[in-house]
Amino acid sequence: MAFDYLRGVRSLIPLWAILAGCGSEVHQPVGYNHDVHVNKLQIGCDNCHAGSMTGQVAGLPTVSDCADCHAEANGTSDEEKKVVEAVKANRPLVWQRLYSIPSHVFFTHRRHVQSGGIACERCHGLMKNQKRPPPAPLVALTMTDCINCHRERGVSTDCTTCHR
Amino acid sequence: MNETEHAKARPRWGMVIDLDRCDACQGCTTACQTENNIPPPTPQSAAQDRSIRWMELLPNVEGEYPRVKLRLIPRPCMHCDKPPCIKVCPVGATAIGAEGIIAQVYARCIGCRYCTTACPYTARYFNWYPPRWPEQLSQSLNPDVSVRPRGVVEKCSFCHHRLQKARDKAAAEKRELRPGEYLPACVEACPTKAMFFGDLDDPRSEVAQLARSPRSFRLLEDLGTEPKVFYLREGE
Repeated sequence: MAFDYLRGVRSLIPLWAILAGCGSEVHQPVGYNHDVHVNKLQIGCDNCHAGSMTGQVAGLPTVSDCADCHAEANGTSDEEKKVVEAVKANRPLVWQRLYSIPSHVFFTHRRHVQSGGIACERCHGLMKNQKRPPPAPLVALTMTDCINCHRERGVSTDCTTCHR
Repeated sequence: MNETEHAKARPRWGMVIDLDRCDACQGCTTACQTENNIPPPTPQSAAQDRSIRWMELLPNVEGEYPRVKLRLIPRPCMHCDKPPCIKVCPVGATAIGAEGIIAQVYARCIGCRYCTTACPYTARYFNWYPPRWPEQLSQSLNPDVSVRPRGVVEKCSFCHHRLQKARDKAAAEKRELRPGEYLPACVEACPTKAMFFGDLDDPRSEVAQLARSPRSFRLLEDLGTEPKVFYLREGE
């Protein structure tokens, strides 16, 4: 009886749904080009991610941040048109977070970037070379990565350093 | 700074409570509850003796009616140098840090409660209920401390989140941590200045000097747990 019941439940959940759930893709409202902004125009990460140096979370840009440069169209790309339209309508661009941290981990960018002097690439990979928003984090971080980096740098690996 | 120098410079945090100065106002208990997001006791939890109090006043009654003397001894986690609680944890959810603070990792705890039984000071508490606050308080929780779910054990942490904040501030200002910059909430709140906190390994620190005073004693010292909370008995 139990066996039949389980088989019934399994048949209700198709395999594609399970696979899609495992590697859920992040879709951004605009096909933002990091390569142009960072490498070509030399705009620093903290211009758009305001908390990436001194805050707890790096944060995502608001439409008013985009408005500083995109009040009028600078180029001809379709993606820029979306930004200019949003700026003119003062409509927020709902960026999706790529990285998330479990609630029992206490992490601050301030401690790592400003105090520790760690480059953004260490955890975020070569984001600056991306021509399209990546659907998943470029570096899949686990606790082992955190521990290894802490050991390399001689930083405390006590549980309380990250877990409170 | 290499690893050996770093190890030498590491403090060993400890507390001294002067029982002569303590007037049992329970300011430390209240400060601790607020600082560490501890849900207030409910009639149900109090009736079943399941209320959580990281800092508790232990009653000690002497004499018989009508000549009764009640002493109340503030009891945080003793942060023992030889802690019995970490020896019994089957999942490594509790560990002693390099600076002597006993950590509790709630995400790892399976709620077996071996540690609550092993602790001779009854300083560990099991979350029997999901945490609940009165509506006015539920929006003013401390964001530096996690809210523990039902089914895990918790205890005093010497407010180690305050140590991290103080260290971050010192690092941002490119200087060493100053003595007295890191104080747990109970020590800070004590209105009679009966509590002292600092590095027990620094011979110049106030706590190290008080811990060596002839008035100093520790709770259940003969068990060999080597607690880092010292009490000062009544003076002359």
